[in-house]
Amino acid sequence: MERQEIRFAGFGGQGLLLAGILLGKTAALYAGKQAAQTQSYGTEARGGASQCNVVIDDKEITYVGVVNPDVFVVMSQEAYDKLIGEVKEKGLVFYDSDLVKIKENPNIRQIPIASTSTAKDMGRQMVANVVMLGAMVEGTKILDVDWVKACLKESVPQGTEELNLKAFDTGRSLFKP
Amino acid sequence: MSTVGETSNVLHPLVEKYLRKERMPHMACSGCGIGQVVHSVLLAIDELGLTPKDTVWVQGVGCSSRITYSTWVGDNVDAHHGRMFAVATGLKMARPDMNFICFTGDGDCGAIGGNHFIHACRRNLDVTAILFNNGIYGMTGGQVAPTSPVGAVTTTTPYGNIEDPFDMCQMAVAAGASYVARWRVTDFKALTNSLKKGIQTKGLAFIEVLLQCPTNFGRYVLKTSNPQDVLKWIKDHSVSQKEAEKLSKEELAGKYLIGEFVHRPERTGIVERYQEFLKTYQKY
Amino acid sequence: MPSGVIPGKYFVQGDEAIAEGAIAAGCRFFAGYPITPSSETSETMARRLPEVGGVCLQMEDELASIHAVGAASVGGLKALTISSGPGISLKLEGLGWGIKNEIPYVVADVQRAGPSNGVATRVGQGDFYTIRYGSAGGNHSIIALSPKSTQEAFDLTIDCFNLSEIFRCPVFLLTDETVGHTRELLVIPEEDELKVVKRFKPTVPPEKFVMYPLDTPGVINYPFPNIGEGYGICVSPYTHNSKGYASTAQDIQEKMARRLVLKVTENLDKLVRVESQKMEDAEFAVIAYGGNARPAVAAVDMAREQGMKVGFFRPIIVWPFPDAEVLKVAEKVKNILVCELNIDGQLSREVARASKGKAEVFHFGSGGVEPHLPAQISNEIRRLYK
Repeated sequence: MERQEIRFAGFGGQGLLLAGILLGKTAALYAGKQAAQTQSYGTEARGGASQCNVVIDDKEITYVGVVNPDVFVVMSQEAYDKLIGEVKEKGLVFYDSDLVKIKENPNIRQIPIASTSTAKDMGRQMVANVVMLGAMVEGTKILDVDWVKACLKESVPQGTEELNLKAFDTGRSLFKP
Repeated sequence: MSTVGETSNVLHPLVEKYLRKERMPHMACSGCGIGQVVHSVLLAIDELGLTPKDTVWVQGVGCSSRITYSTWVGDNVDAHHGRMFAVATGLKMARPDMNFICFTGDGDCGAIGGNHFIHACRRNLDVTAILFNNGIYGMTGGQVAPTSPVGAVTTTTPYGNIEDPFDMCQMAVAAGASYVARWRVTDFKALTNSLKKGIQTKGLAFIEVLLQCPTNFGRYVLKTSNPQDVLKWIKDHSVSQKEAEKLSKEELAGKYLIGEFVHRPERTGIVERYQEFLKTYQKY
Repeated sequence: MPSGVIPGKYFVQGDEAIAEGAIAAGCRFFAGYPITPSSETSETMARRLPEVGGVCLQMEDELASIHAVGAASVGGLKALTISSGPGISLKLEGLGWGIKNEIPYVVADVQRAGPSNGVATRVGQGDFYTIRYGSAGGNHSIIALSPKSTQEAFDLTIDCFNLSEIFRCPVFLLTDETVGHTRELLVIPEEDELKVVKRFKPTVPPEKFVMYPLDTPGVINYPFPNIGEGYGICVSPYTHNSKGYASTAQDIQEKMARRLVLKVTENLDKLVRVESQKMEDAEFAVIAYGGNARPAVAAVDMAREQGMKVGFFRPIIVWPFPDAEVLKVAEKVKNILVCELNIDGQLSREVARASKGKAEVFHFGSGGVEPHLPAQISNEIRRLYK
């Protein structure tokens, strides 16, 4: 596997940091790959712009940051407008179609995932991040689905495993090849 | 009984027993009250049977500390200016089985180390702290202290002090210390008994002593070099709590209350609580 | 004492790795004050230390934390405190007490963009000289190690604790927000694979023991008796003789100052910790430390792909500065590019000094917030490569 750069961006509180950590943790602890996860956030405790970056590689990761993401998962218009230009050519963009209006761009593939409304329908808006992660893992095949699910099950708070696994699988089903 | 530190070859038996002979004579000015307080401390230690093996002396910076530091025959830990309570916290949490007798001054405790003092009281750290209050910065040469009276002329208040003094006992009570008392250096018996009570009380014992500094308080504030004049000033400006009940607000203005302000041995402190807490959370 | 080490593989932040490294090194006292980007260490210690019977306190301020840590070490517990720029400047007041009294403990500095509060959540590398020269009065050496990854944050924290016991002094872990907040694989080995130095204890009775070996200033592995062990120790802020008694004599001040410097400078061979990559045939070297070392390595790889003979060098020990190793680099190459996250030029100044004119040294600085990008460094290499 070549170096893959994955960026998650939205507002603080959407759980994108957790989604990124899950992806990196799966890569490092389950898939035997090199992984590094970094984040940037404002000084405010809630709200504000939030960004979580993950690098996955078979080789040693020298630079831990993300410059031109191969995959961009975005859940706010502000983050989309600010960061869409950095996506690599032929990169994949998974955007929350409930929150983001995209601009056409023939050089990248932009995939709508109605994660917020889907999560609301499931009764818990807070799992929108996991819906997004499911769609992204299904659409990129970046890591084995079973590993991500195993990691998800181990990492989420006790008692929420079922809900999160359901959200993950629902997200996967939202991706249309 | 006042031979502590005199350049005589004969040492007081308590000095002989508990202090380092090579550190005598101490460096207090003649007429200073610190030796009298140390006498009370040694007597309390002796009567309670504390030993150099189980007891550590801790100091800050100032006359209170510079004169007493590295004199105890056991372990001595002298902190930076103001940090006595922070250091005592680390020491006591590391060695909860040992006794810590802590010496501090009005500048050390009331100014530069004020925050540590408040929080040591809040944590109710199980140590005995003795505040030597001489109303002035002695070691640095007569500058105004947070305890100097209004109007005091000092080297940094040549036109008189315009600030109110800090009642540190009231602060200790408000912040949560288990035992708080104030004495004059001349209340020898009461002070010694109070020290014994404080040492035996779980939680923070804060004991303030009003003592004479003829060299600086005498010179600048009272325009005298006679220690007895300073002691007389302390006597005239202090009143027992009982006597105070009979006095009006106006009569009490500018007077120190003398006595025990609080004794609440039932109030637990951080040392005890931490040990309890470990019973639940220690796994290995 | 139970080690409390939980071997295994973890995906955690550098800050968390510091806490686990400390516990593995036998640290049983932590006092801190919350400050971004170091708070994750405090939070991990608050969860982990009680599990191993240790003491974790959140103090009223940075000063109280470092003084409590020094005192706890005098009390016999290995101890850690942590902070970042604005807090480190406060902690320096207490550091002097630890240095002068030869108290072993560890201070971690997770550097952020400064000066003053700067940008609390983002990286900078401005404390390089602060930790070396910030303690008032001079007359001392400092030991500081700097990790580039989560794994190194763990490994070097243990190393810091060991060096603090060997040299009887506070030791810095000089890290930064990039390393502190990057989550990566951390492998915690089995307890018996860890090299942990215990506190050296006197082998002679109290009357024969010299608390401060002023007449043998270079001696290391020297015992530190704690309170309650019958040695009647004296710790104070004043210039001291070999017993710890205050002295104003010039010869005592001279001896004490020499002791505090020479115990490190006479044992430099035990302190070499550097990393070199692709230096064998290099004509140009890139030097960086901490989290900024990684984009520098990426840039060196890019330059090599473009056919330039570029190598990489990293001081893992930043204080005492590895002069001899840097000089070897300077003797080998024509140019040295120093990449660091400050505009004023700190590491580059040391590199220039240690290079003794053997190579031309260029400072490539950034004010911080973001680490250098590999492309920025590689562009600079291309511009300067002759």
